[in-house]
Amino acid sequence: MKNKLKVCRAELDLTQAQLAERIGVTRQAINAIELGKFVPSTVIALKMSRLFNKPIEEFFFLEETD
Amino acid sequence: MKHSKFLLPYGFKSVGYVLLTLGVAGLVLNFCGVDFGHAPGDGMVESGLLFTLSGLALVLGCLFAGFSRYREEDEYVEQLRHESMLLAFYLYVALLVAALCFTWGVAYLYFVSFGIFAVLVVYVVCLTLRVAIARKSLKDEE
Repeated sequence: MKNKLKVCRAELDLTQAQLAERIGVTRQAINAIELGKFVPSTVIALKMSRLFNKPIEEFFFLEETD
Repeated sequence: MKHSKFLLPYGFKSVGYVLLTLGVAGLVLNFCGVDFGHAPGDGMVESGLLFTLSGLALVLGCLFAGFSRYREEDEYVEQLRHESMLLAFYLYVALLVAALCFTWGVAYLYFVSFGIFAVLVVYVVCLTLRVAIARKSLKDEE
């Protein structure tokens, strides 16, 4: 699964640490999500959606292999 | 967000690492021939007190260090925990298969008892390394 979390984060001018704090995860988790090493749970995705004020599909995308 | 209720509190982690270090040091000393006292036993097989205490320290140290929460526990750490546990278990099975195929008698018993410790030690080492690598690889874009 691909994502453009970094872009959304930049739009709100948030650092990884600030985003992590806002949604209640570690900075390592945000870094791992951005690098595509970790796929977050629905709860985290929904929290991000609420924070970015965007539907989940706008920052998480399925790949052909998914 | 809810996380596993079966993890020990964060305070156990440092106690675990201290016990683990003492356990490893004790076992190394015991391997070099140092020992004292006699552990309670059935009289057939003698076991030194240092070996018994070191083994206990190692097992409890691994339990406390590996199964206590991190200060910031989240689902990414849970994934690392899960993957480390799988790796440790695979290694344990590999050791067991190797023991069954290539060792006999007393050597087999030594190998299997080493495997009992190895699964815990590998889990703790793997988890600690992976969490440390994840922390180190952080690329802040502030």
